[in-house]
Amino acid sequence: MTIAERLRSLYASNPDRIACTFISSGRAEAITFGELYRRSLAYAAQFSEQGVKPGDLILVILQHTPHLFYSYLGAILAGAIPSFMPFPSPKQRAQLYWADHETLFHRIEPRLIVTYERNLSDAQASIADFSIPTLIAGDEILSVPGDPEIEYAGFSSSPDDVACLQHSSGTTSLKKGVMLTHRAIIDEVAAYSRAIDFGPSDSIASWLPLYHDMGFIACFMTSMLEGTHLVQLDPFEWTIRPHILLEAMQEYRTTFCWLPNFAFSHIVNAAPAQGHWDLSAVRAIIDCSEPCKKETFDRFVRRFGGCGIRLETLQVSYAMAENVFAVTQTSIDRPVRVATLDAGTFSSGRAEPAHPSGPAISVVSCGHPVDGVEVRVWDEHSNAVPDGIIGEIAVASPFLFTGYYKLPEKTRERLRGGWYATGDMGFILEGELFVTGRIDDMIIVNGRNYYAHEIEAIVNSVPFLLPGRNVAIGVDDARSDATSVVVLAECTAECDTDLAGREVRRMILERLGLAIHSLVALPAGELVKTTSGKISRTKNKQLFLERAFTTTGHSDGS
Amino acid sequence: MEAERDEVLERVAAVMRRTFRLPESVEIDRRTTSADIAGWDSLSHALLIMGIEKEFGLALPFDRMYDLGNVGELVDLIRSIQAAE
Repeated sequence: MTIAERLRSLYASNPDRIACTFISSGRAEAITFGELYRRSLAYAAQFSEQGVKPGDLILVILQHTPHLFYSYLGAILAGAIPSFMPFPSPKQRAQLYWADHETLFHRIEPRLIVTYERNLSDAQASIADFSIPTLIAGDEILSVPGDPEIEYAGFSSSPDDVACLQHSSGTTSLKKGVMLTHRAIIDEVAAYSRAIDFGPSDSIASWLPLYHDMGFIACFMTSMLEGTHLVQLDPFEWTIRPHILLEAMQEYRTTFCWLPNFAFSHIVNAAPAQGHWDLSAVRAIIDCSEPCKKETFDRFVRRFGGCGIRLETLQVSYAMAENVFAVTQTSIDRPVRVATLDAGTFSSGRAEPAHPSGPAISVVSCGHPVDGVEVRVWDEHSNAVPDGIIGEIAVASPFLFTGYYKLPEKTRERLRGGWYATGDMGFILEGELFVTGRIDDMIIVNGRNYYAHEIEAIVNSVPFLLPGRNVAIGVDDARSDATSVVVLAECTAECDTDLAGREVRRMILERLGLAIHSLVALPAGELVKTTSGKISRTKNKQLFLERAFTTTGHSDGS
Repeated sequence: MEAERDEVLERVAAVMRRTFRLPESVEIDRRTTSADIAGWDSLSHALLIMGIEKEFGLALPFDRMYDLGNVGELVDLIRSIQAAE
């Protein structure tokens, strides 16, 4: 079975069933499976007309409209390999956005880009000799309906062909395209649906962008392949008014939702205080993509307990694009297990029960492996460690990616002997996986990955800051429950720290679309070095948390 | 006209101080942007919008919330909505 065949059979058996409801600016547009299929075929016809061949790469760069779905599925029907890419954020300078894509385009050589007229002119203005063919998305494409009788190239794909690429988030030029086959996607969605008891009567509400595995696989692909209803909100609108998700859950009686950890807190912080929503239809809200926190769940249940949310409604999954999506999942019929561990032994790499009187830390379980998936925890020599010992998490599974697109070396680094080395740290207790952090310098901000060294490279060019004498660190903010980035930088004596702080924030915002929290300007020589002479991110972060630095950004340090 | 505009700006500045926990010493004027204020990111922007809507008793349109270049444009948007009401 391929995705194209699955879509065709869904169309034949459920043409009048609602596939998705798009909500934007308070308006809802319901689309049936029949309409979804015919409109996707219209895109497939356009792609074929433009000479797209099986295996060609198509990038979809669109805002929140149903054309996201039509063009993506149309590309699969045409036998091409689609990939959703983030839309330029309003705060990012268009010129820098496209200039950053130039390197990526050279490497991955897209055959076609689906976007808007305005983006096309920005791209042409920013990239010299921009010559990638584009298809301008819009309702005009739908005016030429796709013919269900035509055997588009997608119907002769093999289940082991690459169906799509999922690009990692973070710095554009370094994006890795995770290659996923039809078989891996269809089998993972089926196995995961069994793990969460997801069936034809279920439905999903989502505000998540589609260029990220949670929005793409857990919400979009699960709905498309299982034939269930997806209520899709605009990510930008959700950010400003997060309670529109609760309105959608109430109005459409949706049963499942996936959220990153910060989103639970954002909803609690920003939903109107007097608001009440009937959430009694919700079976599970699943937290993934960041280390989950017990306090986050407790606050959410306190706020929405009266709306029908119970502790067992809130569940956890450990997921990644390299395994299509879920690696592990908690049991959706009971509250998630929380391990209370001895803080002392934990910091030395062992998970042991806390003493009743001693300092303790709580780690939330990510549950058991999904059927077919094997999880191991390794030491630095890739030898499995016993239960309760913290090491790197490695995954073997029938759903694993086949590699990173046109990056054979990166693939060999991570994918060895059928095992994927995740770069995440954690431990196993009684068959359940607990995730504790990252090995590398990745900082996850609101579900997006940024690399400390990329941020530091930008800071290096700010006047009055000493080049190579800065570190970017992720700091958890107790109030928003989100991680924010703080830059510690040594500066010259004549540095106007206020001005430098603004310049650093402005440059990182323009280049990466990331709003860092603040710059901490330090006298020369203040940052701690490792024994090999490099500035240590870990030690300086520790010092930052322990000592009250004076920040330029007027932070009160909390 | 000018005095009224200042009053809107002052109320916006007060909401910003509460939202971003800024001391009085931080100057906020029409040219202030998100790059100038520590902790002003897309999530805290939502809290700012909520605070503004509560303070002025109005609803800001979605399509304008992300293309505001600085505090001055936010003040002008509030004034244009007040004028339309």
